[in-house]
Amino acid sequence: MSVLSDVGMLLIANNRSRAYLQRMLHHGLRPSHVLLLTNEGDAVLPGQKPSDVADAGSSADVAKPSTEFKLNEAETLQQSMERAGIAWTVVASSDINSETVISALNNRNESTWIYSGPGGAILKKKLLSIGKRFLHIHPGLVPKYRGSTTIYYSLLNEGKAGASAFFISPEIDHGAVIATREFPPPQDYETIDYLYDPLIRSELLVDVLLSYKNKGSFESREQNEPSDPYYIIHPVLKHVCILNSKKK
Amino acid sequence: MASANSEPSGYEYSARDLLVEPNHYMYSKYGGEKFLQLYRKDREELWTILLQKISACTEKDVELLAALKGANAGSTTIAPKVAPVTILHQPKFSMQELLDALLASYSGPKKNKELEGIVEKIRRAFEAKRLLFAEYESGLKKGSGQTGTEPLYAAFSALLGMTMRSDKNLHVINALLKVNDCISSIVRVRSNLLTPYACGLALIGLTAEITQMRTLAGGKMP
Repeated sequence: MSVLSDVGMLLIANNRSRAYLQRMLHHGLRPSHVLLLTNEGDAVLPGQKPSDVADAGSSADVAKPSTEFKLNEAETLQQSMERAGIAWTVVASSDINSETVISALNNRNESTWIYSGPGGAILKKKLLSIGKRFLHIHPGLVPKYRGSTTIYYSLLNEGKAGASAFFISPEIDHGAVIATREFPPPQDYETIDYLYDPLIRSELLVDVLLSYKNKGSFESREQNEPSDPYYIIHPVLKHVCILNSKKK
Repeated sequence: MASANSEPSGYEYSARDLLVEPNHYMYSKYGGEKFLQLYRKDREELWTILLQKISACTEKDVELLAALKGANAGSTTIAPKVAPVTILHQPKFSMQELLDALLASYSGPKKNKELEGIVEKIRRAFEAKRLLFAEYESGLKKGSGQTGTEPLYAAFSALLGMTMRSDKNLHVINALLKVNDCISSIVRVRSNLLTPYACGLALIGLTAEITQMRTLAGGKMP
């Protein structure tokens, strides 16, 4: 197991965080430390009902991963960290921009933090100016697919999806790009929110971390191309995307 | 036939007062074909209600609406008193004034990129809050004032409908669906405070939405 000594993880308990950590461990990669945000109130969202997640176990390979990785949705983040011997700290806040989170980050030496926080949260300038880099995997190919729910837009427009790895910057989805990757569409479009999305993101994350392990640094390029950002998809368009896939 | 104050359609995204409590649309749950049927019923009822109300339009209203629909584009002179771009850059401006100026410009023979750019800016401001405010600071930086100004949504729906391309335009249709949810909410929850002319504007937007959704989803749409 390789310890990424300068890389921490800033996580909240959800399927994306589980996929990130489990796939890293599957590839023998371990973060130096994990800061685990408490998930209050909004832990269960309509698209992420625990029963839905449990039912979807057989579809855990929808992203057609290049390895034999299977997401174990029954394993909690704490269980993953314990089995890998990863040190972690619970941060008593679900607000990514809170002083509690900033203080916890300032108390750590790692300069790069893999980010998987609350859905829809935006990192504010104060957090982005503490001297740490936040590595984010966005579920869309930038610059074309910036913004929200871009998997659906990409599938509706082009029949395929993608993900981009970049360091978060003040302007949304404009950070310096480390890598991008296209993915084939999911086998089951109903699993996009809670399974396909975490799986494609985690696959690109591991690509990026394996490259970092070999080279000793993250290579990135600025993205300055303008594009019209996407806003959260209307439920009718989301349904059209899912139902059109069933006709094929 | 739906009555003027329709019963709830079962479509949850127009069931409450969206001008007070906007939809966030995050992690919307999947409801299968049943959900699209509820959406379709919502829009069919909205169509019927709007159509009933526009029968009270004045001759001038009809002339303006026909010009906007392109039937007599350019035949009517309703040039805006102040150009939309001038209004947009005032320190503080009325959204109704801006929308009226845009509608007047769109009724004429010349459309240009500048007008489309302004509609795009309004679209982004609306998407960010799923609301339109009565007043905005220069360049649409910040909205203020009341949000319960129903005619704004009808005018904006018409403008989005007129800027819709014939090909797939997911940015515009996404916003149009949300604006028309607001209009459906106004009709259902606010006892339809729209004037006959505003209903005519809303019909332009609703027609564009239905046409685009038919392209995207084929036979599943109204």
